[in-house]
Amino acid sequence: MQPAESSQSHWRILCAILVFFASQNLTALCYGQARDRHLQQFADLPPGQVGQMQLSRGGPLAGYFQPVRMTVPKGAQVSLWAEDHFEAFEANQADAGMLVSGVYRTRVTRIPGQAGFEVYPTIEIINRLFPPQGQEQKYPIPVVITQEDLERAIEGQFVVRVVYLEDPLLALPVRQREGEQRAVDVGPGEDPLVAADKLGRPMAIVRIGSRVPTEMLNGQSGEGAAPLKLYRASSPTTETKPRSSAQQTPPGYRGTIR
Amino acid sequence: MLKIHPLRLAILALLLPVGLSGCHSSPWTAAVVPPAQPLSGGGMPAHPTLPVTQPNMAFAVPKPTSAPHPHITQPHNPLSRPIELFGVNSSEPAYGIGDQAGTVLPASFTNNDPNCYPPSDESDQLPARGTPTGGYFIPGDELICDGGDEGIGVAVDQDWTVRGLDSEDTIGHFDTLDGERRIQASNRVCIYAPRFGSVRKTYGISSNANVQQLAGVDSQVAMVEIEEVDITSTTLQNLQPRGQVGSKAPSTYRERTRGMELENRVASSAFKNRFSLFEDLSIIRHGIFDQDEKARLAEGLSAAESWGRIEAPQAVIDNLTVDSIGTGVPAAETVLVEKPEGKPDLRIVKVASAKDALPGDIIEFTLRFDNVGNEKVGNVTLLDHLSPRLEVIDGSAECNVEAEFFVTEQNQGTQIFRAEIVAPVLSGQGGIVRFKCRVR
Repeated sequence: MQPAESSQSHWRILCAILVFFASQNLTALCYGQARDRHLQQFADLPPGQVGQMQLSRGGPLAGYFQPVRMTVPKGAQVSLWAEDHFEAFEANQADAGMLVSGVYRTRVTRIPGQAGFEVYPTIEIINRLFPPQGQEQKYPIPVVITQEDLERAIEGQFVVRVVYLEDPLLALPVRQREGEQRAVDVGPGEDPLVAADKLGRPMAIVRIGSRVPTEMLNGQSGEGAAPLKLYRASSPTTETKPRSSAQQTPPGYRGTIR
Repeated sequence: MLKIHPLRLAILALLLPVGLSGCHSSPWTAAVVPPAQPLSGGGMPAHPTLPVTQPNMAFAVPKPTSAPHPHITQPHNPLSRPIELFGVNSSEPAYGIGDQAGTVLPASFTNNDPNCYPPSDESDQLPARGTPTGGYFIPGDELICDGGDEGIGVAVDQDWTVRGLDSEDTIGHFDTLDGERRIQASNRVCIYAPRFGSVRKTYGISSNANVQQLAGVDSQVAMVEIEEVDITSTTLQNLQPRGQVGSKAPSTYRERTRGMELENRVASSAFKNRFSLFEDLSIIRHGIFDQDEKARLAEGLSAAESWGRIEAPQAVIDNLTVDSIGTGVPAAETVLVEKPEGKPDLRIVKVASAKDALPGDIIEFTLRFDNVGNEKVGNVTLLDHLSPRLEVIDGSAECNVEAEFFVTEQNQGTQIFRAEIVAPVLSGQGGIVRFKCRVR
């Protein structure tokens, strides 16, 4: 055998060995993909972080005001934090357009059987719908807060609700009444966002606690609140704070769009 | 001949897995170890060529002891078409959270990537659909679709067993003069009807440390004496049974009622000879396609087709030899059959009365079937496996020709609507079947 041919033969053997190990790596990688999952997002993350991660993926999420309908028990009153005050709604429903990744402060007062208590849930939008044009407000994301949620929050507990869109092929074949929202409770060790992902497409994270907003404690006016689009503000704002000259022209993209 | 240096080939081989590792992305998973299993929509897609049978999903109609002759010249007998249905719930592969199973795209979309749609320039408006310039996903989980033959193709055996009728499938099968049983799928209709649920978790510990114990006894009262003792003065006469009156065991009185068939046979009481606005089309009225109605028909065919996936009506005609596929038994004898020159064919057009619906709304579906072949067909049967979000309203089915309707509950809660056309359908003739559904 000539030296040149011997060298080529050695190269071929080396190449075959490398290809063999590369194929082994590929097999192990595929096996790992099938077996292991490292979840990146949880409901325990700070408010707004899940939505920000959604926005970082790109797509038609940024800048879209997703209609949201917040419903509280009958008799209670719901208010949405808009720019520098809580915009109160007469009925127990509030409709508003919210941005994906925005965290919106709300307030529930006049809770039946819980006189004197107020609860301040937050709503974080993490996805959007794609309704037919002109039907956006007919199909909002329903955020239903029950009496039990409010009572647990008043007792000092922290309730997290992940609202998800049902997969039509996996949907329960049962009727659903208007204003009703089926809820599944998960126990310790389970993440509601992960559980909701198995059932459909997570749309919003609702955090219900009993804390008074920090900005209210500090006497601030809620600067930095995500832009909000009120669809049906009914009652006049009775708790509006006097706006300073700086607040009349808020810098950047913040404030209420009417 | 292309020559590649062996060293370059080796480097390429080493880099190959690294390049492939980044081909998946999911927002809920780290980029280092992306998942291959779908998080939503779950389940691997079933093999498209393997008919999966699930005997527990069978219709309650008893299987005939001998298969009826498929020839259409036989007098029609509803019981001659019992159907044992074996369905397969195939779910499309999902692509991670937020990229749900079933992506949709506009009807006029021609890009090679079937999951693209144009992005939105105006943040407050829905993106204008129809211009394939983007690369984003529109999930299809907001739609209730019905019609077509998705997943595994439907097959009807010689003994009327229907296989592969997935949820949301709508097909019709018929017999030809030469004894074949053919299947025709309808078009697909999509309705925008999202439904929501929620998952709740409560954090925090609440305990009740309320402990109560006996503090003391204030007064003790002891019995001093027994003042009065009453003795028995009279005794009542005890009555004893004289004899055994009844000799029958209690089991005799048990009501022996045999279970009825699970099928709900609903006869057509009347046919509404008026056409609603959504179905007032020439192809629905007369079965004749009019070019002028093309735009309206396209809108009615798939109410959400502008934002749904391309669902062109397809004809899937299976012959009876499909049963022999996969048996591995070679043919022992070859028989040549001289078929007549006829070309039997059936066309099924399906329209819905609404484009979008809320839970509780009622939607009317119209199925127009026509014999577009050049010979008559018989045993025409329309099958619609409804979505889990739809339920048939009792008594709402009607047809302008003699037909029988059946609604069957499946184990998973879905319903199958079946319309059996009694008389053979001559060439050029057809009919209209209507039924209403409530959105769950």
